[in-house]
This record gives sequence, structure tokens and C-alpha cells, in this order.
Amino acid sequence: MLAALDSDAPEAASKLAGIAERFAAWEQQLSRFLPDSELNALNRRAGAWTPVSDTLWHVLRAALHAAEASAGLVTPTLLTALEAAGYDQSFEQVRAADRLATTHMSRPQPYAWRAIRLDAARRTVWLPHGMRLDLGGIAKGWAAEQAADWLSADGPALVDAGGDIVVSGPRADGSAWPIGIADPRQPGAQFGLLMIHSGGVATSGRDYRRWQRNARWQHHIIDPRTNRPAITDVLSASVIAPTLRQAEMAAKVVFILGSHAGLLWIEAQPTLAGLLVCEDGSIRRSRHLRHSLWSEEYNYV
Amino acid sequence: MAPHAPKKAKTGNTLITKILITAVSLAATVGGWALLANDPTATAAASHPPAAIVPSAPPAAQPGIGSAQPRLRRVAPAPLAITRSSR
Repeated sequence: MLAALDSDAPEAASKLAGIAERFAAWEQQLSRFLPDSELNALNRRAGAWTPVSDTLWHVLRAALHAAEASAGLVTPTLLTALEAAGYDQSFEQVRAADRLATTHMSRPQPYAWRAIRLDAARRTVWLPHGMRLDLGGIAKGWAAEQAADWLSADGPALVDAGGDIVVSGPRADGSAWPIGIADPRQPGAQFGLLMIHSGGVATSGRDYRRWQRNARWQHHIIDPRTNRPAITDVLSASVIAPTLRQAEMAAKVVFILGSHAGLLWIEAQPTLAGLLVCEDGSIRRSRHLRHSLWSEEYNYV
Repeated sequence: MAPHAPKKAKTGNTLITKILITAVSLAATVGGWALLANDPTATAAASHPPAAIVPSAPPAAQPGIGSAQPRLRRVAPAPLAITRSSR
């Protein structure tokens, strides 16, 4: 995680230091990898109404909104499928071994998220029996947005949560924030430069978080239409959007749909811009991306 | 490859492997920026000088056009952050 405040005020550093504590608290509430997290407590109580914190409430609402906006392609209800694909512990542990599958693929359940019930007056949540949630990237995007919003009281802010980046607005001099694009074809390399005035940038890809199971490559982005890792010609998809949560959702949609349908989907939405790196090494970009590039000559995208 | 292409970023020792992370490793002021990071790569990138305008060498003369005049070109700023898939 990286956070930056465009301010030389002496209190800026101490304000930034407070971000770490906030992220730690959010992780304790929202991580599926912490057995005693609030999210796991909710998952264990599927079938019963469960009171939740403001944090879990807001992130769950954001996840359900993303599910609706993506017609179900980005949904929090895929934890069982993710575990069946082998992502049943932290990524470091998953990557360490090529293990035989011990769980069965679950049957796709389109629109399963619509069975989740929320009681706003009581701040309680009801999950159907057997449903378990993974808030994944939505939680990360939500946390980064919260952090940037909190920092922005002291100046223009940028927060980078694992490559998903939000900026609160233009820098103090009115200029855009320079943001590089990692090249999924060359670990450690960049191949382009974005200039972002506001909103978020997110990237979804299978260039790093992948592993072998039963001698087959798996990755962490599940296609809810099959409940298996998405079969796609896209190596990575980066999307710029008015909010980081939108960018996060859209990057996954484009990745799952593949380069052709994904680009059509993004072109149909005037507030989004996207950049796709395909497995054949080609690069595809949406029309609006040029507004966010440092310069046409500089970027080879 | 285009001129002035971005430098290769060093591999970051990022701790972001789950949903969220606990991040406390650096809180400092770097080149006028207040930064908090647990990613050395990102911090190093942020300490680069900002964008500048510098004169460039004149482009080679082209037949029929004559010698081109020196012109200014922009130097790309170092990225403050890098978008990438989850690590």
C-alpha cells in the first residue's frame, strides 16, 4: 500500500501514519483469510440474520451494486468456486504446491447474490444457507477510497492498494498524477504512463496470481457463468473510471469477457477507458484512453 | 520502442497479497511529498524529480524541408504509483 499527500505541511506525515491503522482494522473486518474476521463470522451464520458493522455493511452494499452493474460477472458469492479452484488459503501457500483437487466444482448459480437480504433499519444481513462471501477487490477498492477521502482534507491525495489506485483530485498545482502501467509480459517492467486527474485506475490479470492444480494453470478470477477460472485471451485489463470501485469492477468484467467483447463493453460506457494486454502480446485500447495517456508518442500502447 | 520509454521498475517487495494489508514501514517526507509506503519501489519512484521541460536535439533535416529548428520536448514524469494485477 502506498499513500501520498501533495502537501508539505508538517502534519501530513502524521496524518499518513494513521492510514496504516485504518487498513489493519478494515482487514480484520473484511478478510476471508483471517478466521476471526467479521466477514468469516457472517459466512458462518448463513441462514440467520446477523448484525454487521458499518464497514461490512457499506462494503457489502458496494459488492451488491457491482454485481448488478456487471450483470453478475463480478459477484461476492464465488468463494466456494474460488476455493474449489485451489485458492483456499493465502496466495503464498497456494503457489507453493501443485495439489490434487480435493473439492468439487460447484454448480454455477447465476444471480445468486440477489438472494442476499439486507435490513437497513437493523443493520443486519441474511445469507442463504451454504452461501459464503468473498469481498476481494471490492473491499480493497472501498478501503483505498475511504483512505483517500480521509487524507484529502489535508491536500490532494493518492492511495495505491496493491495496484488499484485512487486519487482525490488534481495535484496542488492542478496537474494530473503520473501512474505507470505494469507490463504483464515482463515482470517488473512498465510499458505506459497515465496521467490521472481524478477517480480510479484498476488492473485485473492472470500474470501473477496464478497457480497449478492437477497440473493445470488456475487463476483467481472466477467466471460466474462456469464457476471456474475465466477462460480469456486477456492477460491483464486496466480500466480508468470516475471511482476506484467502478474501475475495479470494470477491469474484471473486461478480463472475463475477453478482448473483443470486453472492448465493446467498455466502449459502450462513456465514463470508462481501458487498456488490454492479450496473451498473443498485442495491446488493445479503448477510444477514450488517449485522454489519460501521457502522450501518444511516449506510450507504446 | 519509443524514445524516453519508462524505466523498468524494480520488483517491489509488496505485502499486498490478500484483500488488505497492514502497512507501516515508512512515513516520511520525500521531495516535498508526504508518503506512506511499504513498497520500496513505489517510494523510490515518488522521489524522482517532477516533470520538466528541457530542450531536445533538433530532429534530422529532411529533404525538401530544410533544417528544423531546435524545439522543446517534455520529459515524462516518473510514475508515483503503478497499476497492476493483484500480487
